Amino acid sequence: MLVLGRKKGESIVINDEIELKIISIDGDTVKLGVEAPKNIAIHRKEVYEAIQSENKLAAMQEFSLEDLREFRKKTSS
Amino acid sequence: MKLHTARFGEMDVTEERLVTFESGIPGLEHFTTYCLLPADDQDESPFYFLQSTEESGLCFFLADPFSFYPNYEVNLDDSTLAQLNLTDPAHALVLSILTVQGSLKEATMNLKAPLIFNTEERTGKQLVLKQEYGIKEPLLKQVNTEEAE
Repeated sequence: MLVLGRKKGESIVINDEIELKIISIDGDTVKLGVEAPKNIAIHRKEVYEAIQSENKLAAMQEFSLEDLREFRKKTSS
Repeated sequence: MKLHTARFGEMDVTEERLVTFESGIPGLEHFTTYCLLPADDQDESPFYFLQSTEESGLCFFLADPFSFYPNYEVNLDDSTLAQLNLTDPAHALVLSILTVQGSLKEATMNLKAPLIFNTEERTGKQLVLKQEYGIKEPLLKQVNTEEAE
């Protein structure tokens, strides 16, 4: 991992198109500004990880089709 | 083509039912081809199965989010439209992944990251929305409240 020291107001540029700027530093919280083309998806890592693990959970679940039929009968009536 | 599934046994499916997820689904990136199956033959149910053609045990259970959350909003950004080659809104299909642990009544819906399909080109991707939607929203909020009263 490349580690760079930056002060408030300073930036780094990635691949000529993504700018990452340090907006403010307050204790252990750093506020980052990201400027990137619209086609670049940017997410907090914990959100992305939560989606990954939810997908894995959803892909492996067991329930019976009978349950679905029962359920549809109940909700449509 | 013949499809091997843990849930339905061996099935015969037509090519039109196959969907390609070019980058897979986050957490399951290795699997890129799925078969989208409506949960009933009349195509009236809000439920679908998304069965992997590569792994028989991999099957997602999906539902139309708008049937359960009428105010739900999905904005398709230019990048998603381009990735799915989606030019006609009539070809867009939005479905949410359900997680069922125990009974269907307690199922939850991932509103934060719906699956977007181009029904014409048969491509799909999971889109992470910017809005503050939950990953585990109850499928049956209304029914549960009625029961509690």
